[in-house]
Amino acid sequence: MIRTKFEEGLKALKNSIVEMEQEVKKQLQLAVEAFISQDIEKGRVTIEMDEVIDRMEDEIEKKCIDLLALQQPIASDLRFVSSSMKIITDLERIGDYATDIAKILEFVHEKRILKEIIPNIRHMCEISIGMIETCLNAHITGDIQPLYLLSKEDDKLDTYFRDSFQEIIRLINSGETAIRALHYLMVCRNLERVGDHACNIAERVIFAHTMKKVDLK
Amino acid sequence: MKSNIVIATKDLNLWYGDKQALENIDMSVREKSVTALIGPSGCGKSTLIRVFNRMNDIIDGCRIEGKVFFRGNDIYDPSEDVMELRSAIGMIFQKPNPFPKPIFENIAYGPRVHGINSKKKLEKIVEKCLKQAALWDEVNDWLGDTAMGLSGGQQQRLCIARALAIEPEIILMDEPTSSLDPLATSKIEDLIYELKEKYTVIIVTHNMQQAARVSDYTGFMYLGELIEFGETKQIFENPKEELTERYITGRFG
Repeated sequence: MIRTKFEEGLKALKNSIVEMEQEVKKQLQLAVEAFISQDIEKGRVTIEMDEVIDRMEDEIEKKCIDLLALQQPIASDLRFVSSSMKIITDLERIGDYATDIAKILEFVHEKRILKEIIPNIRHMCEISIGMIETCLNAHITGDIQPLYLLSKEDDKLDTYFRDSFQEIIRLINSGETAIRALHYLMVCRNLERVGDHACNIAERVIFAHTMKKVDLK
Repeated sequence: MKSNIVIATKDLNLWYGDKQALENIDMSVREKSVTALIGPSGCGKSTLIRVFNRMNDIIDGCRIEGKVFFRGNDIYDPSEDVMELRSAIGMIFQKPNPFPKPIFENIAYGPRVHGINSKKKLEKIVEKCLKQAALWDEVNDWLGDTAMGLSGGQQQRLCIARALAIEPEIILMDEPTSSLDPLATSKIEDLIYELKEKYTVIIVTHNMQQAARVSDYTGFMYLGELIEFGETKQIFENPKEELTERYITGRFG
């Protein structure tokens, strides 16, 4: 008694979620690369990707509704499908933050680069992409153990953010243009928020597997 | 949900000849609740509910060990009155089986057997039971017509009304909607929901969604064993046993 049609639907759903994850990670990476290299063309590509990600979210939501209506999943299947519907909302929001970073670039490019903040931005990007990967891996494979270590990664993001904050205040105090400095702060802020949404996803995945609410932030 | 246990089994084992059909069943059913039994064909669901009103007594070679308590009394105690037990525990079967008699007579039959002969009283009982079974509005002008002219869904509700007429405490249902269309099924499901105000319902069903929709508690049986028993919500959202999970998600075998 194997439910072939349902298994196929579930597989298709998983594939779409992985595709969306790849796209969001790619967008975030591209946004940060564009910002660091002040590449306005790359920034435009990043912004265009937002529409693709929004469409992916809609399609995955539709897939979930179809599975619920036509296959009536229960137990772990039900929890997988319903948590997927929540997870894609967080993924889509992460995409919005990447888009935002690319938009900030339009305000600061062709101006002096705040080299002091760049390493932090690079680190934060790396950490947040790693967090997204950990979450989605757990969601797809069901191995949720790595999720419990995610709050450590989130702490790192918070530390980098606080550090950037201090550095930006110092730069402003020593004569840096406040608006430009604040735009850099916003980039860091966006990356810090990506971490929060990754934690949301992790909490959702843990709930879907254990029916227990945890607070990772 | 806190209420009294109305029926319970303790180390219940049952054999048909050499073949063991039930193994060490420990189960408690709460009063005024709906309990669903699910599991693959031949797992012992029907056998188990038949134990509750001693329907297995009539099967040759059927042997029972262990205890079955109804309101604290062991129903297999030799001093137990089987007729009394069966009037307290009614049963609805897979295929509706009305008597080939007028609608009115189908329901009045039981009370008459129990000594009620006043026409007025019987009329009252018939009306009350048909209303409880949500059939009154459809048949009240045709009470003298044969029950065989009713649709399958109406016949099944008539059988429920007939069971209610002798004022049972428990109603056992063995796949009561498997021969009905979705509309008739949904009427019976609504009825089950209403019945638990006054009665305890135990239902055997192959329809997982039905078990999820109508019951408060669910037991999953496999090869004669009660694998898992719990609140329906827990069983369908987060079963404890791997076997339950595999069965209800359709990944069995």
